[in-house]
Formats: sequence, structure tokens, C-alpha cells
Amino acid sequence: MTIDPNFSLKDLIFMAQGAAITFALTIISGAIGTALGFLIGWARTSSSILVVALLGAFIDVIRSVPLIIQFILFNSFMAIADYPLDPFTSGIITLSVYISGYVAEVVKAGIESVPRITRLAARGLGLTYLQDFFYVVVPIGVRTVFPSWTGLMLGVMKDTSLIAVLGATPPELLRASQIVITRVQEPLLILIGAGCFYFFMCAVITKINMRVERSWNITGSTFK
Amino acid sequence: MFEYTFQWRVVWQHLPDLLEASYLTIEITLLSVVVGLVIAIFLASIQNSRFSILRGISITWIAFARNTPALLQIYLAYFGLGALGIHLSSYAAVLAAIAFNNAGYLTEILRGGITSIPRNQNLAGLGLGLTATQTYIYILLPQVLKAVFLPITNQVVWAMLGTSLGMIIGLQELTGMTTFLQSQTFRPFEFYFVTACMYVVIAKLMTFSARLVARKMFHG
Repeated sequence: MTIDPNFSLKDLIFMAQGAAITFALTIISGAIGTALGFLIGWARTSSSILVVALLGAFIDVIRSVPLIIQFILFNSFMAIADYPLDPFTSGIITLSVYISGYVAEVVKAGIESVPRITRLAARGLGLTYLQDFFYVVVPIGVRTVFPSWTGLMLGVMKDTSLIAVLGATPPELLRASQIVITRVQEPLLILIGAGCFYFFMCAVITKINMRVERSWNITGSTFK
Repeated sequence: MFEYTFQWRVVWQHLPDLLEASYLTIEITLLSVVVGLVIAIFLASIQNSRFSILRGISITWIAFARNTPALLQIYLAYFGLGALGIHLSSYAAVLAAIAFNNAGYLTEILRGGITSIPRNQNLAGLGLGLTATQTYIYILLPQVLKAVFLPITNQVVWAMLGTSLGMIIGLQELTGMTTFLQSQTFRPFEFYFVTACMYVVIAKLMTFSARLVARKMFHG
């Protein structure tokens, strides 16, 4: 059997499937990471010094160790602990925890962006702590930090390309392009093509988020 | 459940190799930031140019650098440029790709810093009888530097994390050296754990020295 060295429609479909995997990974890790990061960021505004210090250290470490090392470290730790995970699962877990460290900082900034007086006024009106948090702090804070959060989600999408280091299957976009390259031997063209895929996906996410932001602005315009 | 015996001594024996590799990591990081900063200053200055070609270059560079994975950029530099007859070593490829990436982010940082300065500052400087150059050097530049210093420090740490991707194309910086050593000794967890600690230490050193510089330059 001979190998066909030409780039065909099948290769394009293969890469598009990779892009779909990248997209799915982004959404899964982004969702878990955001939920986790929300809790961590919330806990960081608590009054307990121990909790604040511990979570602060956790975030510090997450943000100063390369993601590749976190992937490998977690994967080999699970193997050592006699509980080996498949690379795909351990990749998702690592990526989620990694992004939660960044989300936590954003959430903390959002909570702190709400003026103290506003919160005191809410409590003064008879709202409980939880009511104050969910009906006053969250709506204001989310609007403030939404653009930074969007940036983080774009970051997750780019970071999914590192899952290939663990040999995760099915291949995401960059791994898929590499597989095509080994046969077609046109690295420049295929990598630029992969770049266009990433570019397109980033543009889609940015567009959606801008639309969401604009819809908020309309309701917020009464304050102007 | 936990029947694994940790073997730290083998890591200890190879510590000189790891330290040497971390020098390479720091070297590439600093070089890539310096090169990236020079390009970023150029890109930021042509961003509002009258010529649409110059504006286009700036916009395309920033969009491509920020919206594709750094790993893709490294692949492009290492494998992709070969199609144009440019064959980079893994060192040059990582340096070029991370500098390219940095330039995109740094341009945005610089632009943010420049727009954060009120226009009146410029007018006030001119009104006090300073020339345009003097206004720029003595009034605007110090304020821009102060505004962009912290974000640039973050970018340095970010660049350092990015250099770890050199491992994938066989560069023996800190991560690459660790991968090489663990493949010889079959102790991945211990080696990567120590490397992770070294990255934290390097990042702390970088932010700490940046803070010292900031205190000297901006008086707190």
C-alpha cells in the first residue's frame, strides 16, 4: 500500500474534528475551572487569614509552574498512587485546576470592585449575606470582570494544545495537524491552516461574549 | 494504596544539570522579553500610522500572536520556516517564537499605558514651554513606564512559562533537561516535582527583583 502524499479533503475534515475536540475541551475545562475558580475567589475574600494564605499560595504556585509540568506531574502522581487515569481525563482535570487559579484572581477582583458602601446599603436594607452576594455583588462584579474572563477562556483554548504532551486521544487540533504533517510534509501550510482554525474559534468566542456584554449595556444604560 | 518509594537522591545527584538548564531558561526568557519589547515599541508606534500597510502589519502581528497557541508558533518557527529554506536551531526557534508572542502582548500593554496618560499632560508640558521631545522624555515617558511596569513584569513570568515548550522540540532548558534526565533514571515524579519548585523560585526571584527596581525607580 502506498501513502498518498497529497493534502485531501479527508485531512481537512480530520483537522476540523481536531478543532471540535479543542472546542469541547475548552468548554469542559472552562466550565469546571470557572466553577472552581469562583469558589476559590469567593473564599479568598473571607476574613479567615489561614484560608486566604493557603489559597493565595495555591494560586501562586499554579501561576508560576509551566502547564506542561503540571500535566506530567499530575499524570505521574496518579500513576504512583496506583490510580492511573487516561491522559484525556487527567488532562481535563489539570487544565481545569490550572485555569481555576486564574479565574479565582478575576473573581476576587470582581468582588472587590463592588464599593463597600453599596454592600453596606444592601445589608442595611435587610438583605442577608447571601442575598447581598447574589443580588448585588455578583451582577455588578460580573459586568466588571467579564472581559478579563473572556481573555482567560481564550487562554484555555490555546492551552488545550499542550494536552498532546500526554499523548491524549482523540487528537485535538494541533496534534491532528501534526499527524497530517508527518504524511503530507507541508508543515508551513498546514500549521498556518491550524492557526486559522484557532483564529476563527477565538473570533467566535469573542463575538459571542461581545454580544452578551452589549446586551448588558442596554439594560445598564438607565444609569448613564 | 500507596506503595511507592520516593527516590530523591538521584535528583540530588543531577542537580547541577538542572541548575545549568535553569540558566538557559532565564537567558531565553530575558532575551525574548528584550527582543519582544523592542518589536513592541515599533509595533505600538506604527499602530496609528497614516499608512494602512504599517497599521495592517501591527494589527496582524498582534492578532496572530495573541490568538494562536504559543506551541503552534514554536512549531511554525521550527518546522514551518524550513519550507522557506530557513532552518533554525531549537534554541533560535524557541527564542524567535516566544519573542514573537511577547511582542504581541507587550504592544497591547504599551498601548494601554500610553492611553492611560491624560492628553492634558502633553498640552501642559508644551504650554510650560518645553519642546515636544522634552515633554515626551520628561513628562510622558516616566508616567507610561510606571503604568506598564507591573504588566511587563507579569509578561516576563509568562515568557518564562512559555520557554518550557522548548522541551517539545528538544531544547534542553529546564523542562527539556528534566525530561531527558527522567527518561534516563525512570523517576519522573521526583524530577518534575523538583523542577516545578525551581520554576516557582525563579518566578519569585523575578517578581521580587522587579519590585526592587520599581521601588528604586518610582519611589514605591
